[in-house]
Amino acid sequence: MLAATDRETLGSVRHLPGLQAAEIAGQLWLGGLPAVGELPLPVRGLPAEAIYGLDAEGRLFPNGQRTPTARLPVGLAWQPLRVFVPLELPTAALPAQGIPSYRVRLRPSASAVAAAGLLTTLAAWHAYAETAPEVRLHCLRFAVAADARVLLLGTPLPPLPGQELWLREGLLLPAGFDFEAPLLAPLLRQKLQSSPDDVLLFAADGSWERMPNAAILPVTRSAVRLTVEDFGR
Amino acid sequence: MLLSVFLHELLTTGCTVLTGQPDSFEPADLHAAENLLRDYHAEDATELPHTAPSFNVEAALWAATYLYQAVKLALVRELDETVVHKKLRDFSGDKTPAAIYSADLTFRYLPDLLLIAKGLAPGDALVVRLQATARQWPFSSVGTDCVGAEADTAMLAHSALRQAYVDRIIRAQDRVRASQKHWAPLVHAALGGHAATLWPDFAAFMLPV
Repeated sequence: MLAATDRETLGSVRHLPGLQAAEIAGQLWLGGLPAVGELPLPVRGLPAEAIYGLDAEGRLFPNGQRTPTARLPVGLAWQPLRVFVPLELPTAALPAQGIPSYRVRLRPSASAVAAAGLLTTLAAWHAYAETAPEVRLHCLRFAVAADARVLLLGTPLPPLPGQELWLREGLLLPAGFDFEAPLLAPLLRQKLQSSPDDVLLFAADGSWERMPNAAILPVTRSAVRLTVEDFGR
Repeated sequence: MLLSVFLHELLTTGCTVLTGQPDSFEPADLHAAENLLRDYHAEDATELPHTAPSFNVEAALWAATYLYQAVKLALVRELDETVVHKKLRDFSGDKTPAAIYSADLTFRYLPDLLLIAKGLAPGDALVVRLQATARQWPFSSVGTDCVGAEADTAMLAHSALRQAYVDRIIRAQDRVRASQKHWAPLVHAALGGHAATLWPDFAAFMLPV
């Protein structure tokens, strides 16, 4: 029997097979020890308050005595020692380090680059595609977002109101803007692109969205008309 | 071979196989052919700019029958000029925008047929007849050298046909038609400032040095 405050010392005998423990009234009881012979060395090292033999009727015999002096407390909930004294990870000596994060920022750029895409509205795009020369449509590909924004890719781009876009390392940026740290462009593409054909579209505030290549369709007049019909439903 | 079967093969695969003498067609076959052409018109109209002209049954069936007979005559070369003129009659109705577009559903294959026929026997009665028809139906004969002197007013006046005709001229890079006085400004406008990209030698023949 040990004091309840000595619970942690049971860790030194946790590896011995068959041991069980229970706690009651500020006392820890350790059971499952051999009835005869010497106790294992690690057990002898415990700060035990008393060591008893136990008979079938629950009477406790002080070590080496033939007369019982007490009874085993009733209601002990015996548990295997591995459960009674579970393992805990030690506190690290040094705190863990968080993954450094970088907020992508765009800044106005003085360089003028040819536009590779245009972000416009479905209404403007539909009105144009209804009457535009075929040769101006077939050089383009388009994708429509749920909020009816239309991304057009190709050259020459149609003369429509909207945000012109240019390509940097395969990333689409608003015309007149560039990454605050331009050297990060290849790294961003590598980190953000799930597939080499994906299109990553950045806004001036640094936010971005990914479009799968399969969602960007070749332009035909019927494709535009059917898309508009779908939006009208 | 049934006209409807011929049309089905032509409109779904773009090619067909015919043998033997020219045929005449049963009413049920013509009715099936009409339905095929009507469906194809509705589908094709979604690619036309502006609002497509409506379907004209007479013109569509006449052109389909004409093309069928012309293909047969291209195969049976021993038939004389009389048979050619008997089988390949002119359209008896008015050449309205609806008639032009409905006939074009099959007449758009006329340039290919003309090329094949000229390759087999240039200058024979069939080729002369096909060339005359191509001149009468300029909307369907872009890319051939069968160009009439006067502009087709019905085609010029209809926004969808006008734009589609310009599209075809650019697609076929038909220099002769692009140079015609009625069409040159429209072709210019369609190409805009991108002529050098969209039709690289456009400036060379439009503005000879």
